[in-house]
Amino acid sequence: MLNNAFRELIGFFTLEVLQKVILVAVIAVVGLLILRFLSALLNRMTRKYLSQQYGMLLRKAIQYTGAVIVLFIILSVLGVKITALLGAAGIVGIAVGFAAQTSMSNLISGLFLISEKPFQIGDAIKVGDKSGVILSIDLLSVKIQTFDNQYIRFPNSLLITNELTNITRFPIRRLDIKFTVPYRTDVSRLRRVLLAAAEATPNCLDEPEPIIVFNEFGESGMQFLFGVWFHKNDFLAVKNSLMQRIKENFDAEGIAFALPARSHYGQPPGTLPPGRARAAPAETWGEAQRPARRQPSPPSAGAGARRRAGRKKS
Amino acid sequence: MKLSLSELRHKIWEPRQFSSEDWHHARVGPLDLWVRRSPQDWYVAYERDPGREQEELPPVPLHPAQTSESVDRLTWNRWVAGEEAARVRLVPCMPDRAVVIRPRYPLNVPRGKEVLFFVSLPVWARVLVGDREPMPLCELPTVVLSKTWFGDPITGELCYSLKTKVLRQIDMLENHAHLAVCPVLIRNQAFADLDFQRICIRVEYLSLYRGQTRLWTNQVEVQFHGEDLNSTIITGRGAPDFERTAEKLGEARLAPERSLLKKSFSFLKSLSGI
Repeated sequence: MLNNAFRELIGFFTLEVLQKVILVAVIAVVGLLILRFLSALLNRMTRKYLSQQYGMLLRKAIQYTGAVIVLFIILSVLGVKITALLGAAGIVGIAVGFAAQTSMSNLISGLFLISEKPFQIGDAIKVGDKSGVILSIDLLSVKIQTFDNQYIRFPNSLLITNELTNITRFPIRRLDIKFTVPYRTDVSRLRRVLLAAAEATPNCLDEPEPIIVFNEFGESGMQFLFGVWFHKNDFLAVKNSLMQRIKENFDAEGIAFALPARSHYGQPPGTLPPGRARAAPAETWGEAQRPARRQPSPPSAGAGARRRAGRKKS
Repeated sequence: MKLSLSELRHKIWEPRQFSSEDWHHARVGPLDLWVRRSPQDWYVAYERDPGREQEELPPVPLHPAQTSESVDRLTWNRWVAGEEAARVRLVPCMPDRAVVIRPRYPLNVPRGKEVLFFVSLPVWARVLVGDREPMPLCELPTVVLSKTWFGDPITGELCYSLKTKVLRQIDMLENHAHLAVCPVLIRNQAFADLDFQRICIRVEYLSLYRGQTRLWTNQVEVQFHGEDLNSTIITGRGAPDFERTAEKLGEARLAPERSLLKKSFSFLKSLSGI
């Protein structure tokens, strides 16, 4: 039985078939080598003129087109009729097209992203609550490395339909620090202290000048926005050193941060007419930490009557 | 023998021979610098006292440090060098990017007029070791300047910022070992007055020269053609003529070009509305 199978196998490999097999192997190897060479050559030639993104796209286009051409040559050597194959491919294409709607959507979105160029490799982007540095921009997806070293793949259609922030598109950025200080704080002194903190931080740009915006009179205190400009590469250095310096300067100047806190003043019920309750002034952290003293409230007539009524019932 | 202040200023930039296991200290303005040598390695440490920027403390050339108390306190950087590298030299150089000068008061140059003024720029100290082909170990700013942005937020450039006096007389300039005097000639060739708050000096194109009493840079000529036009910047060849002897101490970072066309003046006080 085994002998027969072996003989059939030997019989199949006639000289002609062997020649074809060798020819196919040679075409495949040489074809792929030529493709690789072409891709490397084009990469070198276009490195100066094309962005990394376009270079990668060109390389992939050459590789895929070349691979299809090599496949067709091999099929024609093997005697497969390509016209019939193309007809069949059309029908299969429709079926695959229905099945691969998402991929097609990503592919078309990828083409839009590449032509629109909202970002390039190496940019830091933010999509939703995810942010990181772009590693590659492909036809179907964009891959990023997050700042805590995770790998995230965004389908291109998601990037087209969602809001995307390119954090490092422009060379300088502004760091906005929002805080609230108690109402008793001297605003002019606060401004001086903040500007001194920015001036003492070498990575803070002195032009554009830092901005201080008095945002609003909040529930717990005065709300400010302090914005300082920095070069995009200095984000962490500026954030750490400036925040620390602001805290140190505030401590040194006796300026406190206001925290959501309220003081309650106990009043015997019925002593204030309805609607006369005053808004309680906001207090600082230190004051808010003080243990609240319970106001000794005189027993009200109503409460005493209720207690007495309870005793009678029992 | 006690050296005079000007002799000390000269001596700072002179080479010093090191024997194995030596460690030396030098002071240039607010910068204190320590250099140590082990048989095959070099170590450099530094610290700055910003409060000393304005003080008239005498500079201290490289000298054997008396005690090793500060060795553990300092943060050392280490370089591998051959055994033959035994000579150390501090060389002054200009900062690595342009410096935006912020005069105390806006300066007005009427049309058709020219004005020469002097600004003092803090130099960097480059540490070189070796005899024939000196190897640069590091460059240390004597004063850390804050950064600023010159131009609009998209196409501008990152520069250093320096608040300083813009003086017309040399005698009024501070004379410190870590400061180099840059003569700036502004020619207003526009049809309007030039009223500016900032001027950008392209220090990368400036060499440093040792005069009799001060460090000097090449003279810079800035020709103003109009607010929306780039200015022509002409870097003078060789040392300026304000002191007789002027030996070249440090080369420019970029090969000096005879003339450049660049934005040099800033008229807006801030871009804080963005």
